[in-house]
Formats: sequence, C-alpha cells, structure tokens
Amino acid sequence: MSVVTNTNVPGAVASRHMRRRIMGFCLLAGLALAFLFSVGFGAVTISPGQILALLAKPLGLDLPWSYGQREETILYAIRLPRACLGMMTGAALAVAGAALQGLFRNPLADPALIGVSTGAALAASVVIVFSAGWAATMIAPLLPYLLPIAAFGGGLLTTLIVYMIANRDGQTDVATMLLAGVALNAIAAAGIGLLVFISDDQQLRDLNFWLLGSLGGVTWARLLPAAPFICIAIIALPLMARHLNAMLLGEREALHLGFHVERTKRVIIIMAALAVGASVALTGVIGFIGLMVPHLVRLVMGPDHRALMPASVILGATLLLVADLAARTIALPAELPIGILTSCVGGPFFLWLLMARREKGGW
Amino acid sequence: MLRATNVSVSYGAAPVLSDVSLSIAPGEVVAVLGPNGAGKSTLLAVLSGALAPTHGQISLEDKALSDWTPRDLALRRAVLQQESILSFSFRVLEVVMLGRSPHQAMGGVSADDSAVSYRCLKAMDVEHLSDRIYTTLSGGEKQRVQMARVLAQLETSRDSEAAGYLLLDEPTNSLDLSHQHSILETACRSAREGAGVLAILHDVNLAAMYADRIVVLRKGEIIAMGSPDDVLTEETIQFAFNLKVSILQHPTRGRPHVMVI
Repeated sequence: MSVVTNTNVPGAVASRHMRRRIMGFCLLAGLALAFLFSVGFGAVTISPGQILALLAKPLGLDLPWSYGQREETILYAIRLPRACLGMMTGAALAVAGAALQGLFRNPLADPALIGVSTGAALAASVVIVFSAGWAATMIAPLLPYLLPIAAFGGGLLTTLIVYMIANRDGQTDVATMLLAGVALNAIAAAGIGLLVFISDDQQLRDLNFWLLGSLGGVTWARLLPAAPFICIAIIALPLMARHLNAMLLGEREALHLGFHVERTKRVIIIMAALAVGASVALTGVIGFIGLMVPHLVRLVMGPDHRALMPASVILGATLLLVADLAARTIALPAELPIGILTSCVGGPFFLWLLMARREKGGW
Repeated sequence: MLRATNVSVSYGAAPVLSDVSLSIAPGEVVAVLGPNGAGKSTLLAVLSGALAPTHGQISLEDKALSDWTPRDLALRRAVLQQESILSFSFRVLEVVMLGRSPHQAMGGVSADDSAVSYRCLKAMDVEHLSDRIYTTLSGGEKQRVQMARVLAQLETSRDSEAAGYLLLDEPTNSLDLSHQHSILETACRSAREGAGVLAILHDVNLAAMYADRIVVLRKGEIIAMGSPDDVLTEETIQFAFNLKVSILQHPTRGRPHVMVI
C-alpha cells in the first residue's frame, strides 16, 4: 500500500494514459500489418514491397520493387476496393457499437443484436428486389445511392423504436432492450422472408449472397456512393466521446454536467444508423463486430470513450480485414460468407460476456 | 440566489408540487424534510433545471433557468442524485474527473482538473480508493465518490466571485454514522466558502444539527419554513409525518433534538 503525499495524480490513472498511447501505436501497426496481408494474400501473391510500390505510383513516387501489369490490375480492381470496404465496414460497425453501448449504458447493445442491422437489411432488401423494375425508369442513375439511403432509413427507424421501448426516464432496461431487439429481428426477418418468397431466381441469388454478409465482388462504383456516409459517422461519433462518458452516469447527470442530452442522443442515434445502414447496404449483415471490438478495447484501455472510440475504429477495421482474410482462405477455393464467420466467433463471445457479468456485476 | 417562485408541477392531473416558493442564498444550508412522496425529489429536479415546472419560475441570479446554457449552468450548480447507475469500469479518479467536464473545452484535461479531483476525493475521505474500479466499491464508498465528483464540478478558479449551488438528494444514503456527519460537514464547509446548499434529508436530527433553515414539505406544499428552532415543533412533525414526538435540546450544539415517543 502506497502513501500519497502530494496532490499529483497517482498511479493507475496516469499509467492508463501511458498505456493508451502505447496501445494506439500497436493498434495502428496491427492495422497496417492486416492491410498488407489482406491485400497481398490470394490466388496471386503480392509482396509487401510490391504493394508499397503500387500504392506509391499514383503519387508519382518510384519505389525500388518491381511488379507486373497483372499485380497492378489485381491490386487496384479487386484487392484494394475489398480491403477499403472491409476497413470501412469494420470501423463503422465497431464505432457504432461503442456509441450505442454508451447511449444504452450497456455493453450488450450490438447493432445486429438489437435489430438495427436487420432493420437496415429489410429496407435494403426491398430496394434489391424491386430495383430491377426501376432500372429502366428515370431514377436508374440514383440506384447506387438508394441502397445505402434505404438501409440508413431502416436502421434509424429500428434504433428509434428500440430506444423508445427500452428507455424510461433516462434509464435503460437491459432485458427490454434485448427483447425488443429479438422482436424487431423477428419482424424484419419475416419481412425479408416475404421478399425472398416473391423474388425470382436472379433476385433470390443477389439477396441470399448479400444477406449472409460478404465483402466479395465489390467495385469502386459500388463502394464510393456509400463511403461518405460511413466516413461522416466514423469522424462524428468519436467527437461525442465526452458526451458519452457523461451519459454513462445517467441522462440526468449528463444534463447536470452541462451537456445537451437530447441533442446528444439525436446525434448518436442518427450517426450510428448512418454507419450501420451504409455498411449493411454494402456487405449485408455482419454481426458481433460492434459487440466484440469495443469490449476488447475496454478490457485494455478502460471505458473512457475518448480512447474507446478511436481505438474501436482502428481495431474494428483490423478485425474485419482479418476475418475477411480467414473467410476467403479457410475453405479454398470456396469463400465462406464473412457474416457466418463473425457469428461463429461472436456468439460464444456473447455468452461468455453474459456469464462473466453474473460473476463480476460490472463491465 | 437560486429562487423558485410559485412553482407547481403535475404529472398528468396529479399535482406533485403546488405553489412552492423558496430561495437558497449563497452561504446557507437549507434542509428539505418531508414524508415519502411529498415532492422533495421533484422540487430538487425543478431547482436543478432537469424538470420544467408546470407553472411558476425558477431563476438563478435573477435570470430564468431556461435562459442559461447547460454548460454555464453546470459551472454554477451541481447535483448529487439519489442513486448512481454507472456500471462501466471507470477508475474512481476518472469518475470524479467527469465532474470537471463543464470546465474542459473540447477534450482537453488539464493537470489542474486532476489536482482538483484528487483534492475532492480527499475531502470525502476516499483518496485511498482513487485507483480502484468504481463498480467494485460498496454503496457508501460509491456515494462518497459521487459527492467528490459533485464537489469537483463546483470547484472554480480562485478569482471567480460567482457563488455555486449544491443540490443534494439524500446525501447521507447508505453512509455509516461517521460519514453521514462528515458529508454534511463538507456541505457546511462549502456553504462557508460561499456556496448555497440544499439537501433533502430523512433524518430530522441531522437536519437540526447542520441546516441554517429547514423546509418541510407535505403533499407538495410547504407547511413550514424557517430556523430549526422554529420549524421543529411537536405540532409540525405530527402534522407532516403523523408521528408523536417530543422536542429536546441537543446537549452541546444548542440545536433542537427530536425524540420519537
């Protein structure tokens, strides 16, 4: 036991700050490594040197690694859009998860678990199934934007519903939140089932492939319309870190501490729906990233959102790159849907969280 | 001066507060007594600005509470709620530092903030817990940490002349005997340093010992207000709590002492 003789900040909190800085560095290094692996690995291997040289080329730099036309095409047409999609989706899901958990004051609030992703998926399914009929009409050029916007709308609606059901007088009832999620998931699943039922063969194939969650077949043309949505959310949500910290004390306490509580809730719900909706529009439902990533970060860095949010962005991007790498290499030459993979890992993780919670009584 | 003028609150048709007028001046400790459901917490909620009154006005330094920005208000009044629901594993010092939020511009934590927070932990006799995980504390320890957070929020720079206001909802909850007294002594010290303090209390004798003025609420109305000697009478207590008591004199403090008979 140490005796503190002055009023300086003592041990653990200061060392937590130091640890955060080191962890931030490790996370960035991990992301870079995952990126090189993800972009380099596949039917044609591209070495890290070649990747750097290829990436430097548009900048006008000439690096001393040689590559062929084949590597260039594969990198820019296939691997790079896929890696960008993976990083954006992982970051968006993780940071949206962290934000929703702060809003609900509960670390079990995963976008897929409480129905937000499924709601977004239902809205997106409607677009996928019916958009074939619209292709010949005037709105055809808007179709790439319609999918992320519809998914955003679906996600927003479900978030609002869960929030209104689970929140009473500034307190969240966890059981209600999870049960509302179960119900919303069931309703949205029924809607999607109905859409599957009325789809023709081609629509069915599109729908199925997309519903299981996959990063495959992405092109810049599909990626770019949704990218601004995701980027706005990834930048805006970490700016709410101090608000979220105060919200953990309770909504009234946050108000007493001088925060605009209603405005804070609105921003978080809209931004989280934006992040989840846009990523669902691109990849289908990928569960548990929003649950696992913030929890892992909290274990190491503590619950302070000023560290949690940016770290979740980086770790989410890294984990999804790794998961995608695993999904496309485990069952070569076939490709496993990544949503199945994350659920295989995330489901048991969730159960473990529930049991650990019973023993510890805190997060 | 924090002032409520003819304040009424009703949830639906049921009135919770009716026509309550009350003021808290810098430097005084006001205790609010009353049976369960008398409207004490509602009174505190309207005074803090968390709840808008159905009728009447709340003003701080002669300016309506609704005209203050949340942040400016947070620099002038701090609130200790009855129970805390924090369930994430913050360190104790981090919890107290949350009280410094209104003093921080976007994200910046100054060394001063942590020094202030540490001083407030010390004032509440919990500085030895500063590195502990908040969720592992006992109920009484949590209560003292929350009080430290509230004190840290109100601590301003030395040159500031503006008075702060402390609103405490049952601050002695789940505290042991000695800490019940020390938390109220801390509140009194804040008052001597210029803060206005309002505390909802259940223990009539604690109110008698520490309050400059006592307000008794019953069914949403103020039935008595004044010095402990004026307010704590057999008739008032009988009327408010429906309990027979006799009033003695505290042996050393010169304050009334209520004895249930």
